[in-house]
Amino acid sequence: MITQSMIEAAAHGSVKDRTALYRSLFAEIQSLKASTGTQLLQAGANSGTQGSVQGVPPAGSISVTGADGSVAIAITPVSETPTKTVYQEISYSPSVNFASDIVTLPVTTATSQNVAMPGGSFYWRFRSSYDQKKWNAYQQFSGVVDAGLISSESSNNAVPLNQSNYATIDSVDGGSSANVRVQGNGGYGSSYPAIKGTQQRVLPGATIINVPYGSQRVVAYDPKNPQYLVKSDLPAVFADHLIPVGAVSVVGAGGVVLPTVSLVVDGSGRVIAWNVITQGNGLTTDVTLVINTTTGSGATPGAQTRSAGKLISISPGNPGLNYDPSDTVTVSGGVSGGAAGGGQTIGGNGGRLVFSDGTTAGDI
Amino acid sequence: MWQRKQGHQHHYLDMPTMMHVQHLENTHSGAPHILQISVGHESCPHCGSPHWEGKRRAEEIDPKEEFERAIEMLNESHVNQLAYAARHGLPLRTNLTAKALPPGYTVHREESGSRLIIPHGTITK
Repeated sequence: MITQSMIEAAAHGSVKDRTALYRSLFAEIQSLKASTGTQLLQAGANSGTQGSVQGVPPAGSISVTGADGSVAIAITPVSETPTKTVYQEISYSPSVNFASDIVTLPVTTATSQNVAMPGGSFYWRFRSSYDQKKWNAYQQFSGVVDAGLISSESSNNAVPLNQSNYATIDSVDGGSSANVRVQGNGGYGSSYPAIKGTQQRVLPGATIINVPYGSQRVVAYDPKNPQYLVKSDLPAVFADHLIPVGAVSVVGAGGVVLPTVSLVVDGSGRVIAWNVITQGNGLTTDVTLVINTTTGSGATPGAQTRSAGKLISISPGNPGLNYDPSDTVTVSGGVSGGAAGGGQTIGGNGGRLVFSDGTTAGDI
Repeated sequence: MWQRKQGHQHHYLDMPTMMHVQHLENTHSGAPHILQISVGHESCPHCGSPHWEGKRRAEEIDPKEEFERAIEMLNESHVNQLAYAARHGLPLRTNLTAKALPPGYTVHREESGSRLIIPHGTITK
């Protein structure tokens, strides 16, 4: 028998009071059904403790855990006799009340799923149906679930890593050794944005003093202990807590002095040799050679030989045609000013950071 | 202006990385910068001998002088920025961590809550 005091207690009291009221209601309805022969409600599997709306499964519970860039969803349905096929529809949203950006996973009868979403942080809910037409009420998992990032230990070698940044790394002669500078687009002293998974943050610029002249270096940022690491090879910055920023070919003593080059042209206007007039200094990569001509075309230089930062020789390449002996050569490059970030193209690896493949800073 | 951040968490020798670290902050903009002196020497992974070439040994380095030189360069760039803004009457947008106002500027808080540093006497709607 439902009394006014029971209703008052349920309205202002605890879950226990409300449960008592619902059970009494259910008993009353069952009694009414028995006396009238009508079929208002069907008892669920937990008859006597829980009722269910006709035509939809009783509400189960959902458990969601995130780790290693994935989310594991486990649904615990209410067991029913006889067993019925129950369809589950799982959805997630960055909004606690699912007001926007809702993503719904394909409907399935499976009660557990794994979803890869490195860096994702979402709220989760599900609902169930016997026929995919009539659904019971959404059951939401309490709290937001962070998938985290994929650790190196759980990744295969040579998998793409979704990280990059907008840093520029260069080097200058510091007098007795080189200084490596990490900076944003704003120039020396500016910060820069870096992306890792779905997380973006602004990292500070830096000046790293006393780096060896003429060396190849990889630079990484350690956000836990705010400072930069300068290492001689790429795998040295693969630890999960580090953010690879980029690589730099460090200048030699005295900075970079570009060599001067002239052409040797035969009587048919063909470039038969590239003459190195001065060797330059501090070169860490091949120089770029451009012929200033109004008549010739097609000539290209061959391989360059460098030693101790100096250009020793240039092999003849394609001789081309119609060059004039007075044509000059403009020399540029010769040193890498660093390049943007962890997601940059790495020699032979299609833009992926890979472990232990012999990649060194010089290949970046 | 760029200045050193105080406290042991901002100025230390990190032994695992062999780096002398000094954190800087720009009092006008709130921007951070990190100065580091590499005082150690990596070793050859094959023979174990340290890489001395092209690098000064720790006893040859005067960190105070190195840091002051770097701060001087950073401040030169910063002063140029302020002069440019003053020449063209530009307001300055800064991080909320900025601690000081450049001379001739005052704080204006926008409706959105972000902070704008504007020249004295500037009227904004």
